[in-house]
Amino acid sequence: MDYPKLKAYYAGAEVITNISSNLDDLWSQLLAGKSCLKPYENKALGISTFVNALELKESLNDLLALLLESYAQKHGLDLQSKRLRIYLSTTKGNIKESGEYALSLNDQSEYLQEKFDLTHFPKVISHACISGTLAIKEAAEAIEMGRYDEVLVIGYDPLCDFVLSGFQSFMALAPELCKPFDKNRSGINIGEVLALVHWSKNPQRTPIFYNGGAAVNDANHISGPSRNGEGLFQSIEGALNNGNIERKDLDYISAHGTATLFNDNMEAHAFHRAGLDHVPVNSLKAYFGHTLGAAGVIESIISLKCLEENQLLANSLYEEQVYDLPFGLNVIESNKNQELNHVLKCSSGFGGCNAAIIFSKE
Amino acid sequence: MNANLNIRSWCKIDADGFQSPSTSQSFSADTKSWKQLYKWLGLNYSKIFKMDSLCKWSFLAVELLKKTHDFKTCPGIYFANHSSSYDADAAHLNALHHKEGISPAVFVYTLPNIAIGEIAIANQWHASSQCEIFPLMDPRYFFEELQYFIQANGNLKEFIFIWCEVKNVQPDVFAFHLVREGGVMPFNVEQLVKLYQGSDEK
Repeated sequence: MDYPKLKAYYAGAEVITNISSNLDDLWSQLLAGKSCLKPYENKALGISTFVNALELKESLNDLLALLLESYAQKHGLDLQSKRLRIYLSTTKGNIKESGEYALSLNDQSEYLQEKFDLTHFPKVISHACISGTLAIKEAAEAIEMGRYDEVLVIGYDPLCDFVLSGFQSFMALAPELCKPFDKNRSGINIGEVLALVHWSKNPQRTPIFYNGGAAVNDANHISGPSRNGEGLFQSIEGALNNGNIERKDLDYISAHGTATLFNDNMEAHAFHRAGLDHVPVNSLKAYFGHTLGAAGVIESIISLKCLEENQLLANSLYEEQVYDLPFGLNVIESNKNQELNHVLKCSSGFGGCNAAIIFSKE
Repeated sequence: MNANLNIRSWCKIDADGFQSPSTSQSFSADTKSWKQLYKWLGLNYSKIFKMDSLCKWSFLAVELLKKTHDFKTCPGIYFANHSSSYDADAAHLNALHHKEGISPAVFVYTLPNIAIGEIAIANQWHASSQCEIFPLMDPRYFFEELQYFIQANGNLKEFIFIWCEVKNVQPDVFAFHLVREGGVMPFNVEQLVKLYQGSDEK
């Protein structure tokens, strides 16, 4: 990139999930192999699958405010600073509670700006299933370019009939706990979390920084991924080019891994073409399901936690899995302590969109 | 910061018609007006018939830009609107409430970035893009946004900005093509206001 780059540091995170009270709690649950996913039946829609439902009474606006306020207090952040911006990553926002045709992705932005008297209205990034990864890319770049000093990226999306019926119409919902990269994988589980990740121009105690990213379109199909992983491959190459890292130094890939036949095959192609077959890889979908606009955010947060803790998490929560992909990926079979310095996070989505970002230890 | 780009072409489409540097045509006020533009452009692209209205108008806006000046390289695409995929959402919700006809061909359009996907497919652009939802089409926001988008994509030579707001089939589209060399208008807030409000530009 041809601008004088500052560094964007990972400065903290917080999450709301159905198995934890905070991020540290979530981390210990994940280490113990606990999943947010539970069996789910919806007779009216003819759906039998697993979902990760928050089942909270608060409205979306209240949950967002709660998350933001508690994070800001804990970290002594001045939300009103003109050097701070909030990025919201979502695809369907408040559609669950907004009534028939009242969806407005600007509502949450307006609500938060008014409630906290923010200088800037929160920016809404809505780019299908890469929204979260792309929002982090944009947030980190904004800091690198000196646009803001602090950016808080918040990802969320509702688990609701709108989304479930749509994925059902694609016959993409798994009737069981999802099996990313497995020979017998049967599709997606949908999930719901709220996740906040904080990027700052200031170095932190364990300095981890954003080390490049790219987002390239497949230009192939709006609802199916490119067969040879073209857009994701180009995204990974772009991320490696604009970051300060050699591909041989990547220690871990946090894949999109939705557990659909086509997605996981596509990713295997892209990783192979990028010469990354040997790099330990997992998907976190067995823990959270596909949390849509929140996916890139929560999965990046856990990847960052893995980097901090030098810990790899098992890809599967099944006793046995058989990995059968076009290329032999190094899928992480069980939890493992291992020194980690560079992590690649990938996402792909409808519209042929792909994003790849890299986090590194200083 | 100086992005050092200029505007090569622009277009505007609303319920009354479309405008670009070389033409200004009115629509008859019906919901099929996209076909008039499609015909005027002399296009033969059957995929457009499957698209929802957001994608149709976004695709046509890019074709209108190309009519004035074609793209030489794959551009970075900055796409924004207010109502996301409102019409497709309404269609999917309607099918859901009536428990019939839930269709993947409708559901896939319930994401605004599908418009970028359609443009990328039609032009074979492996494009770098952003898709964002804003309160309104304010040239000041987007001038600032684009400065950073351009800086972050310093390797690219051309960019497209598309504001494509479609609600109840009514379009409000404003798009322009930015180039590093050979632009015909300055890229600044005043110029964007002038073009979007259509005061003295034809």
